[in-house]
Amino acid sequence: MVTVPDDMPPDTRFGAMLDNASRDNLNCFITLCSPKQHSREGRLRGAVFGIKDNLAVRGERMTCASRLLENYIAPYDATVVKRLKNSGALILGKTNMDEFACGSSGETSAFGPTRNPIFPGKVPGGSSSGSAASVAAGLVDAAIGSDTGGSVRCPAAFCGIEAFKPTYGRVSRHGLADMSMSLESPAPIVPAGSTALLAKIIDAISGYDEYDQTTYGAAGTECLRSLEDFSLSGARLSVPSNLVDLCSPGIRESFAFAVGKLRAAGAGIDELNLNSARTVLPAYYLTMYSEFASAMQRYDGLKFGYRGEGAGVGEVMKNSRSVLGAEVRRRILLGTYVTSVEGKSEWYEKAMNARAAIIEETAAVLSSCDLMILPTMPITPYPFGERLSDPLLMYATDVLTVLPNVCGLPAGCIPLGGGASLQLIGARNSDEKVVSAMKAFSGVLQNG
Amino acid sequence: MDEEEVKIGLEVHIYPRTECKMFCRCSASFLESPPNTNICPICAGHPGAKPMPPNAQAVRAGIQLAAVFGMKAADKPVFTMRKHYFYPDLPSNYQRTSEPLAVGGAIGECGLREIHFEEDPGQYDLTKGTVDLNRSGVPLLELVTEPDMRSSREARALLSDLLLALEYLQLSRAEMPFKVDTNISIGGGNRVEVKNINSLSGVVKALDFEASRQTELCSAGKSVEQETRHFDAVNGSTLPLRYKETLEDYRYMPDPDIGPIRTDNVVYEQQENPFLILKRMTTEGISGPDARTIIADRHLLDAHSRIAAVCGPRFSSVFVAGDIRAELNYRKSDSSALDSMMGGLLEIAAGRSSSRLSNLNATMLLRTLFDGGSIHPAIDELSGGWYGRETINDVAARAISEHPDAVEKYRKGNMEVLNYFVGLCMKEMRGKAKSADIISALRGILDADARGSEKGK
Ligand SMILES: [Zn+2]
Repeated sequence: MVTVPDDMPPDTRFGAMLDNASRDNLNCFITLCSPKQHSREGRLRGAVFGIKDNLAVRGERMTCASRLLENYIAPYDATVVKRLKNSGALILGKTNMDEFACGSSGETSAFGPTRNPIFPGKVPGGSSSGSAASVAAGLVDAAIGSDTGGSVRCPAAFCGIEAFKPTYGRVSRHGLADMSMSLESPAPIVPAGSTALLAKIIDAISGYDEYDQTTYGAAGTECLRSLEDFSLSGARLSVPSNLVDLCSPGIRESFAFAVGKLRAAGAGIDELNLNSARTVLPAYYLTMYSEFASAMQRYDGLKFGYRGEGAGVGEVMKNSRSVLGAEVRRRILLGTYVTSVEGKSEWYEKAMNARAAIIEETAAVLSSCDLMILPTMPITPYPFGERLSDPLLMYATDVLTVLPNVCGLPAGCIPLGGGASLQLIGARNSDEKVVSAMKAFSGVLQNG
Repeated sequence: MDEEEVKIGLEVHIYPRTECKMFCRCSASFLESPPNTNICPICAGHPGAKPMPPNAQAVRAGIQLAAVFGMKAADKPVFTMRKHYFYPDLPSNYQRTSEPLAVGGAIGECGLREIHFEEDPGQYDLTKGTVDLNRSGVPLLELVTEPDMRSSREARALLSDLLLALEYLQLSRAEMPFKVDTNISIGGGNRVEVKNINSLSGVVKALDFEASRQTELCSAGKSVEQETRHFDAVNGSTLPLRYKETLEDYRYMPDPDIGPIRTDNVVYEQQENPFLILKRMTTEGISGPDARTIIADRHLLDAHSRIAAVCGPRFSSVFVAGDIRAELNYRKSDSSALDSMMGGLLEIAAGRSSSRLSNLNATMLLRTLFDGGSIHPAIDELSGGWYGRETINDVAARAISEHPDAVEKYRKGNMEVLNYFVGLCMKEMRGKAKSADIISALRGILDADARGSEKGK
C-alpha cells in the first residue's frame, strides 16, 4: 500500500486510492466502485468513503454479504449515500460485513471474513467489519456502517478507531437493508483523532427525510459548530459499575486508567448500578430477532437475488432461502418463534415491556448527568473461530453496546489503545454533546 | 333455535379514491399501465426501501365513511401492523394492515364490526407464473360487518346502501368500487367463506348457491365443512380452493417504520347524510330507486334540486333519473356535462311539466341540447305563448324586491344567486320565458341598483 497524500486533486487521489484498494489483502471490500461524477462542492469535497454493503448505492451491487443478494443491483441511493454525494464525497467501494449484519466479529460474510489491520490474526469486529478495517488501514478517509447493537462501535473498538451511532431518527434509514428497524441507524466511522471529520459527516447525513417517518421533526445536527464546546472541568459522568464488572481484567484496567485521567481533568465521576444490566441483552436480542424475521420475509428468490431451483413456488422459495448462512437462519427461526401465537406472550411481549423499563431507567440516569461512560467492548480482539461456533458466547460480547440501540440514544467510541475502547452515551438528541466530548476526551487521554 | 337460520357476514374491500398508493407516490390507478411499470422501490419491496406515511386521503375516506354509518372513531393512536404470509404477489411477504380506524355502527339492521386500511397485493397469474406489481400497495379500506344478515336480499340491500354512501361522498374509485368476501353458515353449522367477489350480483349468486348447497348437505344428514371457497362468476357457483388453506399464524406485529396515526385530527368537508336526503326525497313522493340514482351522482342531484324548484320534486325526479339519465347513458357521457346546459334543461323541464311540450318533443329537444345545438327556435315553435320583455321585467323586479338577502349575496359576488332568481321567475311564469331573457332582465335591474347605490354613497 502506498500513502495517498491529502492534497492531490480529488480525481487523481481517488484513482490512487482505488488502486490501493484493489490490492487490499484484508478483504475489506465486496465491490469496488468506478469513479462517478459527484458534486464537486460541499463540506466533504473529495473525501473518499467506504459504504457498508447493506446500504444502497444506485447502480452498484448491494449483497449484504450474502449469496442470496450476490447479484442484486440497487436501483436507488440510500438517503445517507445521496447526502454524501451531494456533499462532495466520493464512494470507493461497498465494504464487507457479517451476513445481513448478523454477527459481532466480521466472520460470517459469504465473501469470507475481514482481517484486522491493527491486530493481525484477530477478528476485526462486526458487523461493519470492512468499514472499520478499511478506515483503520487508511484505504478510505471514512466509512458508513450501520449500528443495530454496536455494529460500528464494536469493529471501531477492535480496530482502534472512532465511530458514532446517532440518536434514532436523526439519520434516515431509507436505503439501509433492514436488520432490526427500531434499533438501527446508519453510522459513520473515522480514523482515531478525526473527530472533526466525524462531525462533518454526521452534519451532512442527518435531519428530516421524507422517506423515513422516524426522522419527522428531526433537525440536522450541528456537530462541527459545537465541536469544541465540551468542557471536562465540572462535567458529570456516570459509570454503570455493574456493566463494567462484566469486562475482562485488561479492559477494566485500561478503563479505570482512562477514568482516572478524566477525573484529573476535572470531571466528576458517579458510579451507579443499572437494574437494566440484566435485561438489556435479552431485550435487545428478542426485539432484533422479531424484527429481523419480519424483514427477511421478502427474500424469497422470486423478485431479486439468488433464485433456487424447484418445481413450484414453495420449493423455489425454500431453496432460495437455504443459501442463507447459519447465523442468519438461526435468527429468522428464533424471530419467527418469538412472534408466533405460541411464543408471543412468553417472549415478544415481555421483551417489549422490558425495553420500556430500560428506556425509562436510562433516561432518568442521563437526566442527572452529562454522559454515561463505559468500555465499548468487554474484551479485546480475539482469534478467528474462537466464538463463532457458540452463539451465546458471541452474543455476550454485545452486552455493553446494545443499551444505546434499545433506548435510541447517541453513542460514540474512542480508542484507549491495545484493543480497548471508551464508549460515551448521551441523552436523546444530544449528538452534538457526545461528539464534542469525544473530541475533549481524546485530547486528555492522548496527552500523557 | 331455528334449525335453518342463515347467518351472513361480509368483508367489503373498498378501493378509496386516492391519487397515490398507500405508502408511496406511485399512482393508485393501475389498470392502464403495462405490467410492472407502475412501481418504485417502496411498493416493489426492494431491500432498504421504507414506507412513506399512510396515505392521508385513504385514511380520511375511511373516517368519513365510518361517520355516515355511526361508527365510533378509534380514540387511541392507530398502528399499522405487518401480517406475514408467503405469496408471490406480496413483495415483502407481509401485508401492511391497520388497526381499526372505527368500530360499531350499523348499515340498516346489520351491525358493523370495524373498518381499517390496508394495502392491496400485486396480481399473480397462476397459469403463466407471472406477477404484476402495478397494483401492489394500492389503498384498500376493509369494512367488516357482524354476521347479522339472514338472506342474500339483505346482503344486497346492505351493499346498495354502502354503494350509495360511497358514490354520494365520492369516496371510492369509479371503475371498481369494491370486492367482497362473504361468510355464511346455516343452522348454527360451520362457517364457509367465499372470497374475492367483484360485483353486487356476484355476491347474491354466491350466497344463494352456498345457502342451497349447505341446506342440501344438512338435509342429507351431512355436515358442512369449515372452508374457504372461491366464486366462479361464469357459472354462478362456488368451488373449494385448489389449495387447502391451513390455519396460518400471521405473526401480527406493529410495523416499526410506520408511526401511529390519530383519527381525531382528520378533517373533511361536512356533508349532509345521504340517508337523510333519501328519507326526505321519499317523503316527497319520489320513488326509492329514482332517489338513489339521483343521490349517487352529484351532478344529477344538482340538476334535480334546480328543476324541482321550478317543476316540483316528483316531476323532477322522473325527468332527471329517467330522461336525462337515459340521454347520458345513451351517449356514455359524464354527468358533469349537465352543469353547462342547466338553462336549457330548465326550459325543457318547465315546458314538459306544464304540458306545453309533449313527451316526444321534450325528448327531441333534450337530444338537440345534448348534441350541443340550440333549442331556441324549436322550443319557441313547439310551445308558443311566451311572455314578452315587459312581463319578464316586472316578474324579475318583483322577485328581486322580495328577496333582499339574495340580492346582498349577489352583490358580494355570488353568481349562483342568479340561478335562484331564474328559478323563481320561471316558476312564476310557469316556464313560459327563456332563461336567457330572464337573466338579462335580472342583470339589468341588479346591476343598475348596484350603480345607483354606488352613486348614493
Ligand atoms: Zn411505489
